[in-house]
Formats: sequence, C-alpha cells, structure tokens
Amino acid sequence: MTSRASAQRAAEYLLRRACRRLPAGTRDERYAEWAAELPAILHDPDIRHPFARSARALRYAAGVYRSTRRLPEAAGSRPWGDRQPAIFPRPDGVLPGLAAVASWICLVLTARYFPHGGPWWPLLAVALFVPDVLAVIAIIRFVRWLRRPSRGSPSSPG
Amino acid sequence: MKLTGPLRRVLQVFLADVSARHYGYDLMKAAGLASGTLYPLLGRLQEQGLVTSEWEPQSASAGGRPPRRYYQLTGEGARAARLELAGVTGPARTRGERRAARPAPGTAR
Repeated sequence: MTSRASAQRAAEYLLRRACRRLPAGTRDERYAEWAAELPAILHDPDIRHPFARSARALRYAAGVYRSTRRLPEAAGSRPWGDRQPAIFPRPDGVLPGLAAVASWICLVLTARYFPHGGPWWPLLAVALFVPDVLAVIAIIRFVRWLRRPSRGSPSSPG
Repeated sequence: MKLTGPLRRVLQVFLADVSARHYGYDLMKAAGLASGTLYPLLGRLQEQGLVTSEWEPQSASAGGRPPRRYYQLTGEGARAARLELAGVTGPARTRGERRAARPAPGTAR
C-alpha cells in the first residue's frame, strides 16, 4: 500500500470518528464533504513531496476531528453521539496513566539495553520527564473524575 | 459575529470574487487557515445566512473523485462582509475632521 493510500485511509478513519460526534442526520453529509477534500490534498500540486501531502491530509483530518464539537449542528447533540452511557464508565486519566507506564517501561528497557552509557543517555535524561508529566496528568484527571457528580456519563467520546 | 482574524481572511477570499464558489481545501489554502478553524467558521456564517453551500453535481466531478461541497457568499453576506471589512480599517475622515481631532499648537496633550 502506498503512503498516499495509507494516509487517505487513516484520514478517513479520523473523519469517521469525528462524524460520530455529530447528530445522526448530518453525519453522512459531513463525512462526504470532508472525505471529498482528501483527494485534493493528496494530489495538491503546490506540495512537492508526497510525504508532505500525506502529512497535510492527516493534519486536515485531525483538525476536523478536534473541531467537530464547535460546529453549529453539534450544539444540540450529545457529546457521546448515540451511544448510551456505559454501565461501568471508564474513569478519566486511564489513557495518560497507561502512557506513563508504557513510557516508563520503554525507558527502563532502553537503559538496560545501553547499560554503559552512550549517545542516548542525555536524551534519556530528558525523556525521564515524560512519564512523570503523564502520571501527573493522569492523577489530576482521575481526581476530577472522582469529584464529578455525573460520573456515569462520559465527558468525552475519546 | 465578532470580526476575528480568521473570519476577516475568509471574507477577503470570498470578496475577491463574489461570484466564485470555493470548496473547503481551496478556502483553507487561500485564507491560510486550518480545517479546525475553517469549518466551524463556515458553519456559523451559513447559520446566519451569509454563506450558502451546494453540492457539486456528480457529473461535474472529474476523474471519478467524489463530489465536493462548494461555499459561496450570499448577497446579504457580500454586503455584510464589505461593511465589516470597511469597519476594520476605520471610517475615512475628511481633512476637516482630521484637523479638528488634532490638538491646537501650543496646547498641552
């Protein structure tokens, strides 16, 4: 599969996810509109490098994904689309928590792989902050989630 | 609607040729905006009746690509856009008005 095709598929996936946040009546139309822009981006003659075009397409889809809730038609829709609230809702902060654990594991493995130092060590020292920051974010989000009275309803679909 | 920088840029693109129709990516490039800024803006303009949109006929979409949605200023939108953009630069003052606004020589400012 070419990078262009992969980028298009990834962008379409993001657009589909974005459309899930919209009311059912407008989803298909919005998806058709946004997906129709992808060929124009992926074949944009003003962008020389194919990878740059793919990156542009992904940025386009990510921008749409981020801003879907600011569309006028999304104002009245439930943020989690047509899904019912989960019986056992996922607490906030799980993703940053998992990311913190994963980055710790990566750091430990890297440190074991280069036990006598090397060019990676200064980078590792800087990277040590990443799991710490993620862990702090996870804790803050989890505490906020615990304090929220309407804990049964997910605050965001992501 | 408050005239923000992105809105001003979108209106300028539309006003460059009022009869022209623009699709999303075309507007993004011309106005230098990200998709995350452009579409909510277009949605609000459409909601206020300043911009209208229509789908490209299936036959017009060349090379088997999917039909695009095109945006265009309405008559009311063009008028409002011109007024808004004229307000940005401020009303033109006559020479007499400028002289009246200037402090007289010898007076403290």
